[in-house]
Amino acid sequence: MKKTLIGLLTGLSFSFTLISGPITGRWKVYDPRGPQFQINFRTDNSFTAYSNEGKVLITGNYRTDKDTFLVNDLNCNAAYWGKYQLNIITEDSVAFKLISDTCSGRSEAVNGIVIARLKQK
Amino acid sequence: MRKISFLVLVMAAILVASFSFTRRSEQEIPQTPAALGKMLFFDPILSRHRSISCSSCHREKYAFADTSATSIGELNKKGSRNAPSVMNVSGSGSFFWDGRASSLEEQALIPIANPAEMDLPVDSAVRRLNDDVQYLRYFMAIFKEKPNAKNLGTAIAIFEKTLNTYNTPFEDWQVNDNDSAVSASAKRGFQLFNGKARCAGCHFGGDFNNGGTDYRNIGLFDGKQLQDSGRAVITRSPDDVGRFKIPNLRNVAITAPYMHNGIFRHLREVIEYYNDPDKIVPHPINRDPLLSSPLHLSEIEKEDLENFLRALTDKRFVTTPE
Repeated sequence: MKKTLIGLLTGLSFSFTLISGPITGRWKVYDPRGPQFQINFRTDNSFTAYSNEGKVLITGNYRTDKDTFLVNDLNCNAAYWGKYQLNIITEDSVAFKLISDTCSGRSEAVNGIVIARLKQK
Repeated sequence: MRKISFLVLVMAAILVASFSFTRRSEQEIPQTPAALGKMLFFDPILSRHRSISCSSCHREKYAFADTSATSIGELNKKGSRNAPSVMNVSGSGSFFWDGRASSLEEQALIPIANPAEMDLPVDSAVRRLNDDVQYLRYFMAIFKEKPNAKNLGTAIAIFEKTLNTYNTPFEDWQVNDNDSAVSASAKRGFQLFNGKARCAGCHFGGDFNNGGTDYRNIGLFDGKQLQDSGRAVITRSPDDVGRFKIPNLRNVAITAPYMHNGIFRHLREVIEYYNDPDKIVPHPINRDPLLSSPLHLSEIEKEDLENFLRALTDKRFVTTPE
């Protein structure tokens, strides 16, 4: 019983909650077309996308300007910035809509995805 | 006297039989396709003279790669290419240095039949498994059918798909934001990898191999001393001459020797090559433009790059002393 309670509390403390704030921090990506993964947007404008198991998938850099999100990563051309519009769905869930990105692999992966902020209580 | 000799003989036979029975019954009975695949991977039953197994060239201790420049097959036959690691292959879209197999299931059967490797036609391998009471039972229990080429390839492929490693200092640094997980040198090495050293021009993605479906000519084909034309063996396209599959870099520090022909014995030699390929292969044919000019890396930068590559080693290998 005690173990169950501890497990439940641990589970709750790592559950996803929607909070407000800038894009920096950890996010869970919801993409019905592919496997789920997470992203860590750091304050130094670098980011790491990683699988739910903890394997690094992509690293790169990002910038935001109001509701515009710019991204570059090594899977595409590191000198080229893809551009997406951030659509706020709720306080802390955001959808990405393609503005311009010549990197087809990235635009197919990013356009339409929804991310929800992951908060560790 | 004759009676005593007979008794001794009978007792010896009983002892041998019981020993053999114990050995077999002690083996863990596989309950899943992956466990069966693991058993097959390590079993020499799949080689003509039962002398080698998949694990002879894909050695667990070395991230399931080989330490020989080119692998040694049955009867000490020398292969022509270096055995790559079979870890972290579940996301790969093609297999072998020249991409001759498009699935892991297909890949798994090819070395069994290759005369320079295990040298056992797949039909013969399947027959052996059907003749082996234990394997027959295992296949029936797991696949609900007798051993055949398809479920043999499937079992080995499923086992190989379990060999994923991402418990590395690099992951600890990047995923957990643990700044002390890697050295300052390795962090600089990561910057070099992505920038000045141009490694990420080919080695990107989760396994640093562009999904395992891309082929590049890094200059190790000159038509004279270096005659393996790589991908062109399969496609017959002149554009593919000298191209080889971009290898996975996870655990690269323990998978020496390097390149399709195992030409470099140390990671540092690989870095030296990329730093100035012309010094080592002066007249390559069809080399990728990415390698058209020297990198001009300093000695410290070379060390940084090497330290970053070492940070891709799974902790299971770091903690296991040689």
